[in-house]
Amino acid sequence: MKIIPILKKAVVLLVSVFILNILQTAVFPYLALGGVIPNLLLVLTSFYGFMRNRREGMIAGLLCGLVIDFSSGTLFGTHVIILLTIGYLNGLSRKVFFGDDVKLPILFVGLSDLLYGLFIYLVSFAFRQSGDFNFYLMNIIIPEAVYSVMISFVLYFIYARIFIWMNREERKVEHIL
Amino acid sequence: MEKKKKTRIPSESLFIILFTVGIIFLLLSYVNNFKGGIFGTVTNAIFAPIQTGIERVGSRASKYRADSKTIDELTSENEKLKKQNENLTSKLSQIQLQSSELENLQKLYKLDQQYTGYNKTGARIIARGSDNWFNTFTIDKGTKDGIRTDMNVIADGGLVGIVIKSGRNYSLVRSIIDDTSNVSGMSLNTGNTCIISGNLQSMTKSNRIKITNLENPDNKIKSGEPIVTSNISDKYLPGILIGYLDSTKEDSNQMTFSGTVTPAVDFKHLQNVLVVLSKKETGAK
Repeated sequence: MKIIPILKKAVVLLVSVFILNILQTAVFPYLALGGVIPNLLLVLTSFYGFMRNRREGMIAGLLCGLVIDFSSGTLFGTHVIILLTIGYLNGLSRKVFFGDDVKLPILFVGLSDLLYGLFIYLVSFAFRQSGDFNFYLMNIIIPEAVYSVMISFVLYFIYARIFIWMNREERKVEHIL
Repeated sequence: MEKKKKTRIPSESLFIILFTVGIIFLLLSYVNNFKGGIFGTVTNAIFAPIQTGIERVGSRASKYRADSKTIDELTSENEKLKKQNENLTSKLSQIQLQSSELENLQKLYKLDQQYTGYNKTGARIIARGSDNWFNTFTIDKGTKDGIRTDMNVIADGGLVGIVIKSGRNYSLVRSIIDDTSNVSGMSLNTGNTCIISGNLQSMTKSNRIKITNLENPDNKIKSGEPIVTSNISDKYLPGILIGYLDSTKEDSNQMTFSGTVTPAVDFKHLQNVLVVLSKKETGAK
């Protein structure tokens, strides 16, 4: 009885990661603004953390991090760690800021992307280069966050519905039990 | 709801466990060059066919956009091309004169037999890396076409990068403009070695990458000098054009020079690449 909703949730998450990764690696390079593409997998992780809970945020972050790490040239695990943390922190923030407001989840996408940018900069760039942080902030971190926030408006309405459906499914199961 | 599920691991502990797993991944990758093992290969192999399909559609769409030019544009372009043609013919005669000189040089560096003699296979870029920080991409050929890790990737006669991982139907390539890339190079005419490092900052600002540790006695090496892969590099085949020297400045040690290089490959519009199917024999293994 309990296994079916978990299975459904897993399928939704896997399909989301699959589609968003395809969009991010194969479609958005054609739609780059100022050489920058949005970070869709981060948006997904942030939504799962903030609109569902810590646990699902972490699992989404873990999956997204793995998928990025599989196809990137950095040390394996870099993206796992940061996205895992972002999913968890978003879940924690949910406890503090509660509400069905559109602004908050999207605000947290922006904050998460800034955190992501800072982390990648610190881990992979700060020690090797002569560390011109301003440049990276203005040319990569902030543009990426802005673009991600723009895209997250669209994704928000899709995921708000998916999450409402998930809640309903979960309640159904509780009734049966 | 929470009370019922007391048997589950609390979120805090789960976070700490997963975080530790992440750190273990990092260490493994650092020590052992771990890249996700079989899971990574399988995941990427699933993504590759779809990325190939989308790339086909995408490149066709951008070609269509390029096709739809107005007559005005075409006539002006035609005139421009005519002028260019004149220029080129005059240049050609100059170059023919110089080519005999070039032949001698090539013989000197044995470029002709080393560079053109390699077996190569063409491949298409089907996906870019997932974020804006690193310059890696996926191509649509893998181990079944004979591509292995550490093979060199070239395009337009210049060095593009190196294969860092290959699965059955895909390979990951790190380009030389990636911030973590370092290539041992040398100046074509004098043979002085140097290090070419990818640099996100100068690449974004001015499409150039860094050159360091260049020995340049008496300032002999001028800007415009072709920089090729050196024969002491352990992964790159010798004599592949990397780019042209842009500007140099003497380092504070007053022995070496560093500056910028314009890559020979147009990385912004790269769609097709050639993978050199032979690896450098270094005798290491």
